[in-house]
Amino acid sequence: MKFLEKYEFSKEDIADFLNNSPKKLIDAIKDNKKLVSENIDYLKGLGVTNYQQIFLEYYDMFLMDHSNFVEIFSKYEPEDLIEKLNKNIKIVEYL
Amino acid sequence: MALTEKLNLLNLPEEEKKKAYKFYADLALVSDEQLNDNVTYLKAQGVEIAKARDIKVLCNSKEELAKKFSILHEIGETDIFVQNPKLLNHNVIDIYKRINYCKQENIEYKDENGYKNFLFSEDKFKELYNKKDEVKEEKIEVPDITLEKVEEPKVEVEPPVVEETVEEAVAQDTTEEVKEETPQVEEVTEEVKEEENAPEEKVEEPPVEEVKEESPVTEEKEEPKEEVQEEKVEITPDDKDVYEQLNGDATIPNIDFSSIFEEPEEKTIDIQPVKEDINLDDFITINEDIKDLEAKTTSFADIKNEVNRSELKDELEKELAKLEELKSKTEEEISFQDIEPESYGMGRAA
Repeated sequence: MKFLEKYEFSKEDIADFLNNSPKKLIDAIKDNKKLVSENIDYLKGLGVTNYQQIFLEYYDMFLMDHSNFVEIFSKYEPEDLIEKLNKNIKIVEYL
Repeated sequence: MALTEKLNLLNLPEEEKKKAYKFYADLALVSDEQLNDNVTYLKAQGVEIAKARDIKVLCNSKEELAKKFSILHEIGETDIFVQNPKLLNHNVIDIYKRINYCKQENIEYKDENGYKNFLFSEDKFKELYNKKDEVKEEKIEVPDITLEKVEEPKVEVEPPVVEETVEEAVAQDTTEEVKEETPQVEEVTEEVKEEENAPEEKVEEPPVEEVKEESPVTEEKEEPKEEVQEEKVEITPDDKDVYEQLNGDATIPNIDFSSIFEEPEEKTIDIQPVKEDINLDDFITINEDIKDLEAKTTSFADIKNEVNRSELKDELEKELAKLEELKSKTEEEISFQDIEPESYGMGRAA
């Protein structure tokens, strides 16, 4: 999971993530790190500052096809979306 | 089995089904068999997947879920996991350890929403755990330090009295050593506040060794005890104050100053009170009397001298009279002898 360190995840966060996630999902993320990285990059590019929190809570979402992933977030005004995501990351489920 | 079929198997509410497409990856990772096994096992445990975000729980194997539930049953903490199945993704053994610690330390780990967050985060829990440890160390250390420093005064009580005078004893090494020791007591109190950041380093400091280093002081100063008792007289109250200031309250308590600073009977001089009712007139009259007496004594001396002189004069006059008588007699004898018989016409017989 070293690729997550590039996205400024702390080692402690990565360790917690690995310790508290189903093995199948961890393996899937490792196997699809390019896809996962693309999706993280998208959020980062949108200006979402708390993308690390979003990933640690909804890591299975980042296994979505990139186009589907973009479609979820692109429906909203970036500034409004960023503001709401900063307030509460749970809105991701309702997007 | 298609993803939609798998989703229908979960009996999610319609609203959740709409959200579920975001988590299709979870369903894709689970085989049909595993999905059936897990769903039935979770139902048997009272768990229903009612929210799309909980689908990922199905990615755990049945054995993993069974192991987690056995631990939860052991500690009697199944309710919250049943209400929030997503928590089953966490390492239940770690949660079990944290809950046990909280129970031992009487830390509340539940609130209205379920478990408190620190139970699921090793970092957050470490912060709490370390702070608790520091507090324990402080609680243990403090009595140890105080016990050692209670003993110190006993060591210092005897020495202050040395062969030399008390002033010297107070001013010399003993007091300097006392000064060096007392800050350690203060240090101890100051250290205690800083230990929260770096407790282990201060734990290692062995205050016992410091006491051992002080022990020679007692050996040196126990010897002159006998001499000291003789010189107790020389201790003054000022020295007592100085000594008290130097040693502080902690070192003084065993000293019986009352016995040390008693003024010796030898030194007390009972001075009879001089006439308290003294009049200056009395002094004047006394002086006049003395002068008169002195005057009288001189006149007596003169009289004596005069008497002596008159007596001597009389004696001399008598002596002179005697001498004159003798003179006259001798002259008569001489004149009689001058008349020689021849001159008288008479010759001596040859």
